[in-house]
Amino acid sequence: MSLRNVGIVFRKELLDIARDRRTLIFMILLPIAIIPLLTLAMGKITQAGIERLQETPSKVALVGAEHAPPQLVEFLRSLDTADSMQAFFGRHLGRLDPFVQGMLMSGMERGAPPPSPADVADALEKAKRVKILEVVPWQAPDRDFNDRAAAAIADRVFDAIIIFEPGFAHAIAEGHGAKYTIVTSDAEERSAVARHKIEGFFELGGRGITHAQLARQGLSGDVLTPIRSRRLNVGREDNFLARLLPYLIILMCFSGGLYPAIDLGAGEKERGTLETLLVCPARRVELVMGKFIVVVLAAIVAALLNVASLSVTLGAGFLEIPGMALRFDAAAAVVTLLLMLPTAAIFASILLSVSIFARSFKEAQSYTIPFNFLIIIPAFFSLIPGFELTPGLALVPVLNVSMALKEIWVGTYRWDAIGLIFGSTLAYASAAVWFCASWFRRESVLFRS
Amino acid sequence: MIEARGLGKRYGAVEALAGVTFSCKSGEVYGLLGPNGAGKTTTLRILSTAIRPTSGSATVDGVDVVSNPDEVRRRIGFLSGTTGLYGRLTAREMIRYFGRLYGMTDEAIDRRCGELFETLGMREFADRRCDKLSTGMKQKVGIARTIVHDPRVAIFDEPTAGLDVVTSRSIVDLIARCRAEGKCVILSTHNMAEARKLCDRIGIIHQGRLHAEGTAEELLRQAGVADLEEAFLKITGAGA
Repeated sequence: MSLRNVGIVFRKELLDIARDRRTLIFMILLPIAIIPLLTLAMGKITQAGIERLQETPSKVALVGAEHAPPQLVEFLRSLDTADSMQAFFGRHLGRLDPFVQGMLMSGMERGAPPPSPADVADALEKAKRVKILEVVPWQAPDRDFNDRAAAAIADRVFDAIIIFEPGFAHAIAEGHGAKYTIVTSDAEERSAVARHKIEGFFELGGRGITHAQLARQGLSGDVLTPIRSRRLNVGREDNFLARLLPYLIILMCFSGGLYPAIDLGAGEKERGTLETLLVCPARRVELVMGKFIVVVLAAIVAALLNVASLSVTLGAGFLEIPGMALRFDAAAAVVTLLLMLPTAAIFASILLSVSIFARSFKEAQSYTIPFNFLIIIPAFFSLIPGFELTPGLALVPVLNVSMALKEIWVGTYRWDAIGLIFGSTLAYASAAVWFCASWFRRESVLFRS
Repeated sequence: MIEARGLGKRYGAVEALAGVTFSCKSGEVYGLLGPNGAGKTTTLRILSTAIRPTSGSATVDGVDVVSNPDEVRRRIGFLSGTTGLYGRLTAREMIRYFGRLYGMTDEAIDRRCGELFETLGMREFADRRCDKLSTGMKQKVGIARTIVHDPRVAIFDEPTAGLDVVTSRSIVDLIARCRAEGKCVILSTHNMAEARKLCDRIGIIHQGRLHAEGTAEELLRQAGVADLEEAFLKITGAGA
């Protein structure tokens, strides 16, 4: 094999794909700019949607309000705006029922002192908004109640219905056994949000009652939590980033090599340049190696660019994400590269073999789809929590590298396993390259018609 | 210069070529004339070492195409009608790439490019990207690429198929120049008029067999007709 010829082919192919705008877009621009932007934008949009739902007053109907303490009903009705709540406080401050006080003050861990004006202002600010639209007297639910309720929620008349059962006020006064029903349609997001808000209020209200009872008996709220646990994790934490990144780096490596491989193989057939190239004095293996190195390079560059930009997106630097700290030092970088190079070589060989077999660009694209799945499945194992690398699994291509990267990036180096993985991956890569080179010598592959 | 002896090529049960024998000397233009699927492209692919024959043998400039394909490749220039270019390379880069693959030094390539660009009138577009060139310009790049290493044997597969008059004219000129330089030229065509105009000798090929061989006049005499098309139909029996 003449290295000169390999170099000639390599330089030409590199120049060729570097001039391709599609390469620049798919390999460089997309990962470093669009993926982070998209992630950020999606996050912002999702967050904005949730916030909007939380801030929009949920529309609620009260059934059987006559069974509830008047102050509770008045409080619920005041939840609509900050002004109406302010008015409610003006009327009742100093004479708040314990459950209403509890509903407002989530921080009532130690007894229930009357809230200060600052507490009130804070509570007004943070209170979840609910708008009581309709109050109807209690009646026993009839047969088609559920259907009517579902229709009303679907038609956006209400988001939720609160039903106070008979005896509710009495049970509240007793301090136990008060029951209410919350009717929602959880299929509607706004209805589910309304349920969360209302359940939150009543949960806190219940706590307010308990605290008041304890205070009457001269006990502090601490008796409610006789045992408290404190976590002290001295080992490594489950690290989501360490599980996600190996999967991503392997996937990006494959897709980074995809386009150049198709261009360098099927592209020659489509342009009608293959025959000319095949009858020039450079040997087949030299042509393959020149192309192969370009594809490996593209795959590695794409993987690194993707991971770098994703890391930045996920938390501005590898080392500063709380709970996601990765030990990505020089040793990790070297071992990562050592493991990824033969992996990229396997991918490049597969992709080039598929590509040169295909008669056109389009055909090559569809032939590579099954291989995509073949890579995704073993790569995915890094994402499974608690899945451990065994000596047998260390021989499974792609899966082994994915698992090894996960360990390396949190600082665990099992050199025997790493050696085994590197060795086996190198062996697979050599076999794949050999196959690819011999594939390029087959007439039935090169001249399909 | 080129010797084909009983060349055969089988694809499974299909016999694409069934024992073709002919020869071509230096300074001679030999044409393989036949319809689509006759075995012309297969023959030329075997001679240019792109594929191997399943029977028979061939030598190019005394070198066997099966046992020593690398040597053969150095001695031939190959151009097919469908030859494409690398669209993102310039004409000069394209020619330089192949020059290098033929083992030429960069100085030799530059010298040769100077000559070729001059004689082919390629100066103004030598540094333009190939995908920005007109069909005629592209064809010139293909020609320059084919003879950049000054091969002793030139093989043209359907060189003028689908080309307009002006463009095919540049191919005709190229073939004439190759003959004048003493190269051995072999080409395939299904165009009778072209075969008669370009070729010193013509081999009529049909269904993988060489049915007759000779100058255009000899073939006409042999068939006893005045028109090469008639002669073709008579010789191959395809018209019967």
